[in-house]
Amino acid sequence: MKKILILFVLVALSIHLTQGQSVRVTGKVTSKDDGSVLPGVTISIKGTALGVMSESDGSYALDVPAGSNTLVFSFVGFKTQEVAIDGRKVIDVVLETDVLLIDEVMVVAYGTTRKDAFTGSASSVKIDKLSEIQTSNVTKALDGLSSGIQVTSGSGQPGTTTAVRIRGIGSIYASTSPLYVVDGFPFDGDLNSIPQNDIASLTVLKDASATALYGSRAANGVIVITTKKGKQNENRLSFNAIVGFNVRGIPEYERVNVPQYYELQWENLRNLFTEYYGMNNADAAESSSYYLISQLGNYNAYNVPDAEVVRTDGKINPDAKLLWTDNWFNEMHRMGIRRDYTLSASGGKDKSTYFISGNYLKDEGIVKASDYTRFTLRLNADTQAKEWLKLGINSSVSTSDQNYPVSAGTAYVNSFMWSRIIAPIYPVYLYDLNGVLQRDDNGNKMYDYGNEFGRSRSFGALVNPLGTIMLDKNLFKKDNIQSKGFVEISFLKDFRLTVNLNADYEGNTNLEYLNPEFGDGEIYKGYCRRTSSRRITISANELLTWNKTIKSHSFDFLAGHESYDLKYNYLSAARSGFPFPGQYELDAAAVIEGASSFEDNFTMESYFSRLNYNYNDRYYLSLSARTDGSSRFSKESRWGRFWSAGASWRVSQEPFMSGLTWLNDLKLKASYGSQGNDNLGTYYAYLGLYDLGYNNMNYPGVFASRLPTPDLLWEKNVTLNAGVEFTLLDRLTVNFEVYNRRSVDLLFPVPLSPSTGYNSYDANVGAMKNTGFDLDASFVILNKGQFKWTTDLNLSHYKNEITKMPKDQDQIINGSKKWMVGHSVYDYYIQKYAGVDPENGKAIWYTTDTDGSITTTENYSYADRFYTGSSSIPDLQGGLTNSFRFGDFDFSFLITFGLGGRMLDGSYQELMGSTPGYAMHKDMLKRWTPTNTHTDVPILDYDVNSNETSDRWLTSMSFLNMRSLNIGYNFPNKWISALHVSDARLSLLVTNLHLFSARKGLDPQQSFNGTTDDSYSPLRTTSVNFSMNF
Amino acid sequence: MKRISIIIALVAGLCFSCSDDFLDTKPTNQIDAEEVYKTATGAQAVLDGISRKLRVQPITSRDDWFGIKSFDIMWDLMGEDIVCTQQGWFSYDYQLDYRMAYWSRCSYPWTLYYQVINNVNNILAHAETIPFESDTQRAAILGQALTYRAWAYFNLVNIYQFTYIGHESDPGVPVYTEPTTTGKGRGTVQNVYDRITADLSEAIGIMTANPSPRRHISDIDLSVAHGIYARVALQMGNWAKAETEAATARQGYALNTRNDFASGFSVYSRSVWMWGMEINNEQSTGYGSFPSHMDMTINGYAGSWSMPKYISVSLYNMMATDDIRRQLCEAYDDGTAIHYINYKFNAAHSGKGFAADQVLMRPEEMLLIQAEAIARQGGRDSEAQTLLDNLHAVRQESPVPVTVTGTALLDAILLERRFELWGEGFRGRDIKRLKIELDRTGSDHDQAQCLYMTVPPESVLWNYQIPQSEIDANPNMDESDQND
Repeated sequence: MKKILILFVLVALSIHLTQGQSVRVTGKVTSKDDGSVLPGVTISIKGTALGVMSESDGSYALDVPAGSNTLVFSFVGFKTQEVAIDGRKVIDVVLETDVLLIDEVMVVAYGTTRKDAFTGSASSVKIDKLSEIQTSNVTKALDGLSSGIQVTSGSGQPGTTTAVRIRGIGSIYASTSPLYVVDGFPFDGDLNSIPQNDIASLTVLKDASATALYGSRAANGVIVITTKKGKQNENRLSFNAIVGFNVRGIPEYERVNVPQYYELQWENLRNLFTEYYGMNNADAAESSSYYLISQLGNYNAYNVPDAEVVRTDGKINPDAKLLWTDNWFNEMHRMGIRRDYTLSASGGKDKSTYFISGNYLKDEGIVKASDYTRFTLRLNADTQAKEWLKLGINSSVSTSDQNYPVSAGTAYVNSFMWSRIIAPIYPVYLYDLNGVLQRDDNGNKMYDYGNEFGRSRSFGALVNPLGTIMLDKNLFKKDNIQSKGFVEISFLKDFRLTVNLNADYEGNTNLEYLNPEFGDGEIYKGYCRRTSSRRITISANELLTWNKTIKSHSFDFLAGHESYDLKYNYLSAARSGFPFPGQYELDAAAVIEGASSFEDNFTMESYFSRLNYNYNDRYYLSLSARTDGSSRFSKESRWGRFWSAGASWRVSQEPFMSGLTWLNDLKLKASYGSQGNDNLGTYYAYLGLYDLGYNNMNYPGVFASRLPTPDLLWEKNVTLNAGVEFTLLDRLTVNFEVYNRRSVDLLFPVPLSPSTGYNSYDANVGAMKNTGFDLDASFVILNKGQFKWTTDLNLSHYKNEITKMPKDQDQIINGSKKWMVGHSVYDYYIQKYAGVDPENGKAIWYTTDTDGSITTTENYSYADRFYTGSSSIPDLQGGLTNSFRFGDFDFSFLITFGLGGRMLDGSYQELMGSTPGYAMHKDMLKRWTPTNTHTDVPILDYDVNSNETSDRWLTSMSFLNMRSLNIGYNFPNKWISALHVSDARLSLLVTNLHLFSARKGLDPQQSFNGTTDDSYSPLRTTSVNFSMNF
Repeated sequence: MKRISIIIALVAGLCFSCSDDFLDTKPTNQIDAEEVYKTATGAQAVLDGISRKLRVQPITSRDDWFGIKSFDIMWDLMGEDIVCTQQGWFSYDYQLDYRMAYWSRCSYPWTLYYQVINNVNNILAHAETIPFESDTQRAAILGQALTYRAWAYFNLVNIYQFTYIGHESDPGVPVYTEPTTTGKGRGTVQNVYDRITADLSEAIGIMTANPSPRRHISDIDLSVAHGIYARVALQMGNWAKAETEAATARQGYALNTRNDFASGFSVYSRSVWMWGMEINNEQSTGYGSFPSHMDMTINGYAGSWSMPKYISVSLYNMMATDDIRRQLCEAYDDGTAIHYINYKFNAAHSGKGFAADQVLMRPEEMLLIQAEAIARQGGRDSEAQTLLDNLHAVRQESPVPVTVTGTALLDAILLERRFELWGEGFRGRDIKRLKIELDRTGSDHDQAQCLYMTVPPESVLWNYQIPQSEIDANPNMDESDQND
């Protein structure tokens, strides 16, 4: 900055010398908010390139040439103010904070830029809003805070990452995840290692102009995170504590209770007897009462004889009393406590700045034995060692322990699956036939494994996951070290060379232990797998920049070289047969169950360059180009070029617009360019390979696994972006962009005759496009005295369409979707439900007759699949934040929402089946009966096909989520200043307050592809946050 | 100027730090295909890779995919000698309802056997360049490669087409003798058998000329090659060849005694096997394994009652009461009916659990091929009777000499196959080979579980369709090449 100052002074002097008549103006700049002095404010003379900056005491002095009469005061985070000189020599100015333009400087690829000079598309996420979402992982906090982003809700397991997509679906077979860049370098480490409190900015780069400089890794967008730094002359000590509790964020589906369940199963049996065994109604009813309990594995939850639980009228015996009321969910889950403490110090003096922070997080999940504990330390420091030399380091260390029991999929130990699907009649603990709770010799409640007292539970035979969860272990220990250093040399007036070095280390050790007593480990007499891995990335770049302003022409040129070297080592070994409880090390067991290790290497070398030009702060042009060499591809094809061009026009700077006082800002912009997606799922995308490890007892074996593909390349994106930004009446700021993102050279496994020994080979053959718009708006609704109300809204919409399929393969069925030109990746292609035959209650589906006409069938295997006309892509999604401030109180809440799109609700489908032992949804009460013939729920008659997959399970994805709530109180200065505290704040934070979705229990954000899993529910976290600054 | 020099030093030091091979990386748990065939050890590793591939679980979630023993269960469940009372893995096999082009049971054997063929074709394609250390090593490696190829085609043609006799000119399966990426047409069944017999003759020829002791039970040696030829000849109705091949195959192998038979079929060294898969804990496939599905003594799918497998009551009743094969069975009342658990497979006894060794060929099968081939040649019934007597002598406490002749003798031999080879994957294959009706009546099969109580001879239900992926991707095949 000093150089620029000198430059300005020189220019000013020269003008002074030539014109010889100027007036010196002095003054002081202060903030309207608290009256503090403002150093670093740019004071320029309107219509010229002259200007100075205010000193550390807020004062300034400037020589104003004759003929100029207006000073412009501008400063990041404050409203720019124009002041007429009118012959005055001393002008003191009070600047007002600017809520709309608070993020005037934004972080972009390899540097920062002024927002008004930026030609591309990027969203800066508001850091204060980000930190209101309580999670260990920043990806889970992004939902609703920026346009163009789609985020899945993710597992409720603390310490997990969720999936993020930017502007639609970038690929079919390769990765769709954005590139993360942390403090200037691509980041392949664990995002959980970065506490939210350490994050200074998070920018989502969306179009080619913004991302092309990241070349072959940027096609799915880039998320740029920078960590905090100290500020000159602003020494600060901060303490932040958040303490709260976690409960289930998404409620359970509504299911029938015990008496309803017995009655429904009775009817199930009765209809079986009449339909398939030809019994008359009376006999069937009697047999059903008789066999009911045995059909459910001899589980009689009532104190009446088996045959009298449900009487022959199909109603539960009114005299029956329940013998047990165990609740599986409550027994397996808990309220988790969450604690998050941060202590940090930052500041700077003379020529150095620093930021030090330490964070401790302990986040308990709601599954018993699920938690996450993390320590992090960070030090960011830099110093201007010489006038021409600046040095700095940026390093952080984190270590975490995560207990992560299996909580997704169909494994019985998944407590969410189990507690959802098991019929309500089955107890957690062991009861005898009289309902007496059984205890072991130590007086502990015994678990019911479903096989005592002549019982044979129809669901999960010989399993009790509660016993397993408490005894099994799934522990992840991670250590992360991120260390960066830079040297910056200024030379020849306008040049700067920066050399950055970066090392990211991630060490992982994992313990997977299956106990010898219960569950899957029983047959192994205990099983333990130890895994250890190490990932280290060493990267370096050298950036040469040149800044030059010649009259109204400004140039900003960047040339750089970067190398990237990732090494991943993996080692895993397992043994079984554990004689002593509580021993988890391999030495404790004798039988080797497996051992393996491997190393992966991935390297890249890149050259890149960017030129930003602006004329008179009115016309902007940005050109960038990057050449990447990637070790993923063969020698012949590994180098590729990526580029972009962007331009913008600040219409409001034109002289003809100067009269429009209601229009503060108006900018038009457009960009075009290409980026690559190199993450094809393998680091060796070109070699013909045999797999090692096909060992036959003691003899090493290999097996052919991959055909060579020397021509394989990265996928490419070609993106067009156009947008308009404007600010009206100092209150409303809008950024609206449309885009057309074409993905070409998409990776497809091109099918081969399986009889050749290979099913497919990889080739770049497909194409797809995403078109859509992003809208961000900020509106100061009210700003009067002590009261202020602002609203931020973002909306996103995209359409996805496949435009090219592999030759000879014009359609590919992938689960419940079919890929075809003209359809999206997520267009459902499934059987169509025709409802219930009112005559007999059977489910019917549509089928195509031999003559091509559409008819219906009761036989599911004849039902045909059709495009249903719906997909899992929402029509519109967004986030709405309302923030209120009244004096020392503030209040804000974030609502996220989606409109359109459909889920294939497989969890609901599971609950609408007839299998004895499996829980049922309340909608089963609407089933077809002779007296209820107009329904879409079929008859209960043991028909396992009645709930087969069809569009019957497609459910609206529209939702409204009360995503977060924050009520805060800032202690007044007069109370705390005596304690040397500069500010103190107490607030209540709630994350995932309430979800409105089409069906209770359904989480419409759990996946991009619209399928459901009985997985770890997102958490609702309620906390008290106390923070203090000294 | 000092500054400039610093800059130049830095730029030079860092900018050119990427050496020429910086971007050359290779995987460490895979090997470049070209490296494999540079040594004889590499070619042997491909053979061992095949042995292992025949017993791996390619997708961990598919507990009914664990190599060729999963096909043995498939074949047996399609017959009448095993009874299922629950729904689970293999239910569709039990219901003969897994044969359509899109189903996974259709694609898995196809893919697996053709992968084996591709691997051995690669060995054979490099036969001239592999630096073998001796003629015996060359014979052992190439002999195994050829036998594997014959064996794979034999399995394929029996799944995807009816038996040989009467279907010689029907469409077969594509035959490849060298590595390629272009699919071929189906040809005829005769073409396939021509390839099989040629490969077996060649393999037997070079292994006879350069005999060497076998390294491991999983290796194909001369006896196994003869044994496979015996199976092929029996299928082709070449009775004389079947007889001599079977007899040659079992030379040097005693029959398993009653004690051997009762030893649980889980440790190859505890009984007499000609060919088998030795397995240890590390290489076992856990819940997705033969013992998990068939062994009622350990806590797998069968033993935990998730999907128990019983021996059909009617088959049980046909065995003599003093027969060890019957004595290993035990009645079990599951609440709705009496079933019989067959403890033939008993990995609890040996402690092998899911890692039980698996049998692929034993001398008794050869004896039964011999007996059947003799009986079918006519006029030598007493020889066949003697063979049966030899077997009974090691199964029953007080065997009664076999006296039946003619068709009754043949029936007795075929019934003996069911007793002896129960659970080893032969019954479904035999029903298809013998073109007989599947009859599950009069036993403890429940139609609600098995769907078909009877299936007429050579019903389309026995014929697997060509996987749709093959029809779609093979330029020399279209829908008109599909089985009904």
